[in-house]
Formats: sequence, C-alpha cells, structure tokens
Amino acid sequence: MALPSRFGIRLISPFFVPHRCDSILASKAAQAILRKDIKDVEHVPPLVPGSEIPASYRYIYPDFLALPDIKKRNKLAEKLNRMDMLRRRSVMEIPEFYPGSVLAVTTSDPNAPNKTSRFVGICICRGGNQLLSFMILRNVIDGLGCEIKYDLYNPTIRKIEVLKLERRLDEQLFYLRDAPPEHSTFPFDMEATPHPEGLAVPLNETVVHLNPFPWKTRWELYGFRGFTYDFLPSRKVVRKAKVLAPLEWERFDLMKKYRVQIPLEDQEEMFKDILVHNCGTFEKKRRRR
Amino acid sequence: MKWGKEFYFSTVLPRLNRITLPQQAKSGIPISSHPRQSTSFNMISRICSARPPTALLHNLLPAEASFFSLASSSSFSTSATLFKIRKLTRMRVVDNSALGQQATAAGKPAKVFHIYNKTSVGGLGDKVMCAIMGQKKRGYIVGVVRRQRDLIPTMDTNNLVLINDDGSPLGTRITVPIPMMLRSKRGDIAKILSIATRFV
Repeated sequence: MALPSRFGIRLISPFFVPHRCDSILASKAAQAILRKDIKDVEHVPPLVPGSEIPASYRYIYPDFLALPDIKKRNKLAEKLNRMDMLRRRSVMEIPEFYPGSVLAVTTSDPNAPNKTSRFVGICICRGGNQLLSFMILRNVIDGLGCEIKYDLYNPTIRKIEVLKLERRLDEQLFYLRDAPPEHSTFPFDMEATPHPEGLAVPLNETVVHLNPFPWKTRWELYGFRGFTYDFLPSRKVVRKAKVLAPLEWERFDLMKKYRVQIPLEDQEEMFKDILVHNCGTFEKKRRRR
Repeated sequence: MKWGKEFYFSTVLPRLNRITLPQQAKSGIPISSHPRQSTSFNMISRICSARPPTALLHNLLPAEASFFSLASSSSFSTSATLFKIRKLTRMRVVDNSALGQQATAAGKPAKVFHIYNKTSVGGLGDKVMCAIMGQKKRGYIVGVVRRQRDLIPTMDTNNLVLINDDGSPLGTRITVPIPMMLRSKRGDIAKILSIATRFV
C-alpha cells in the first residue's frame, strides 16, 4: 500500500514524558469553556474578544494548531495542511475526544481476514500537530497490555467512534502501564454511551493506585495528579529533592511562554477554517432532514 | 532559597507525609551515629515508621506542583529507554509449551543470544536463538515493547514463541494476542501463526 511519506515510519518515540503535566483540561477555566459547541456560541466565551470563534475550539480541535516553533512556522504550508485536513474531515468524521475517552478505531488492514481490523482502547495520549497529529490507544487483551498509535489523518482509517466521552485529571495517562490491568481493560464489544449534546464533557476524577516499584518510568517526578502509590523509603527517595526543585525564574519568562504557545490572533486564523467547515456540514445535515 | 537536602527535609517531606518534623530533623543533625547508614536514609526510615506507609506526592500544593521541572543538574538520566531486543535480553515465552511454562514458573526467562538478522536488533517476526532452562532453543519474536510505527501494536512485554529445529512450534496454543502485521511475513513463521488465538 503506497502511502505519502508523511505517514511513513517514524520511530521517534511519541511517548515522551513532558517536564510538567499541569492538566490544562482539568482547570476550572477549561471546564467553563468546554460546554460545547456551535449552538451555544452565545454562552461560550470567544477565543479573542469580538471574534466568532468559541474558546472551546482549542480543546476540541487541538490538531488544528501548528507547531509553535517560530523558526518552523510557515503560514502558507499551514494553510495547505488545514485544507487537506478539512478535505479528510469531510470524508471521515473525526469526533471530539480527550485523553481518557474510550475510542474504537476501524482501519482497513490487508492482513486481516475480512480486510478490516477494529481496536478498542482508552486514549492515553494525544499529540502531534496538523496532518501529523496522532493518538495512542491502550487496552489489556488476555492479560497483555497492547498500545497502538493512530495517525488521525491516516487515509487507511475508516471510522473513529467515541464509546465513552470523558476527561481525566491528566492529559497523558502513560502511567496506566504501571497500574493494575483493570484500569485499562475494555471489552471489544463495549457499547457506546452517547453524550448528550450541550452538556459539559464529564471529568473523571478517578485516582489510580499504581503497582509497587519498579516502574517503567519514574512517574512521580512529573506532577501527574491521577495516581497514588505506596511510598517506600529507599535511597532513591533522597534524590527526588533535586528533581522536584522548581525553577523559579520560569514563571516570569515571557519569551519562554511565547515560544511554547501560539498567539491568539494566529489561533483565530487557524480555527476560522474549521468554523466555516462546521457551518457547512450543519447546513448539509439540515437539508438532508 | 537552596533546593537541596535541607529543603527536602524541611518542606517537601513533611508535605509528603502530612506531618511536622521534630526540630532536630529539620536542622539536619544526624539522629543515628551508625557509620554505615547515611543520615538522610535513617531519617526517612524513622519518619516513615511512625506513620502508615501510604503517602501522596500530589499533596503538594497544586500551584507549586505545576512549576516543578527537571533541574539540569540531576545526577541521573531521565531519558526514555529504547527497549531494544539484543543479545542477553530476557523474553517472555507466551506459548503453552511445557518448557516455557517450566521456565516461567522457575522465574528464569528465556535469554536471547543470537538474532537472525543483519542489524542484530530484534523486531517483530524475527527469529532468535535463546537459552532457556539450560537448553538451546530457537523462537520467533511476536510482541515487542519498543515503539513501532502507527497501526502496529506495542506490547507491555517482549514475547517469544519457541520452535523446534524443524520450525514447528513447541506448544499447541499461544495465550496472548499477536500483531496482525505478522501475517504478512513469509516462511516458517506461518506455522506458529496457525496456533495463535487472537490477532490485534
């Protein structure tokens, strides 16, 4: 199967652990903003004062944001990327989901007996940008944890279903690898629970109790909120103090923030296309009715 | 403010354990004079013995926790492991062969000492030679921890299916799911795919 080179092998590990895991989605501001959708534009604050774009778009469509690297920004390339993405979205719907939601993905697979394969799992990570955005699903099958990375705009994906729409306390749930299997076990015939429109996306505040040491990564260093563990005194504990040291100047470093975030004016430009696209699809649906 | 051992004992640890330290411990004066034990270690074990062992790191103030980051001077590496299957990698045998089950029960996993490819880093569907319970056996890699490209599953363990010298599997059943991608491989690996129960 010939795919464009952008869908080729990328062994750069997508499972980096960030330096900080402040959960943006669990913040109160995000909860207020995430009350859905175009219908409630009046209730959702705009992204920039005076614009038509609701602020919830930056949580619902994070894949429309470009890489916030000043050296790599290219407005024309971004625009072309966005057009490609919308073209793909007009064929296959990519629903709203968050890390912590349970998804089912159907792909066409030449090796499968009926040429399609379906995988169900909890989304433990969502990353990348624009056409290269991806998600990682995790499930425990027959006692063995399996994870599959899906490129959202891969043309071999046939269908993405959201079986359970919810959020968690963290935006990356990689620590489920060291959690008991029941936290990431989902049956393949799981039924979808529809999310009532207009309601806020529920925040699942379950706190996972991790297995005893050794872990695959030192999860305790990164400020995750969604797990606990048994604290065992050891020599390693002493070394934590160094790692936990906050760098005080960082909160005053405006340039650093600027380098990490995309300015709101640019975000507005990025989301304008999806707004137009959504309005178009709404009209189409009305006509069908 | 200094972010060192002192800060840890005066600020971080009390919050971890939800206790207030005695004045002696705060000042960092050694409690025990045992030469082999370091002061800090002794202190922690003392503190922890006085309370139930469960503690949350997240009891730290959330605002503060969000500003925590890795100091560049940390004395250990935090880079991700590559999880390559190389020589002397331990593998989990996932078929129901007597040899594999015996090895698992004894806690002596199969140890790879040769990989039949040009890179000598094992991937999905590669044939390996391994030492298991004092015997030399060959097998196929049917699951890897190492990151794969999209649509190909990664597993929590490195999985191996043992084969005989004639290429037929030792067991009669594979107990864990197997990547669908292996069905595109040609050769003797088809024999072990016929005993698989589930594909992912």
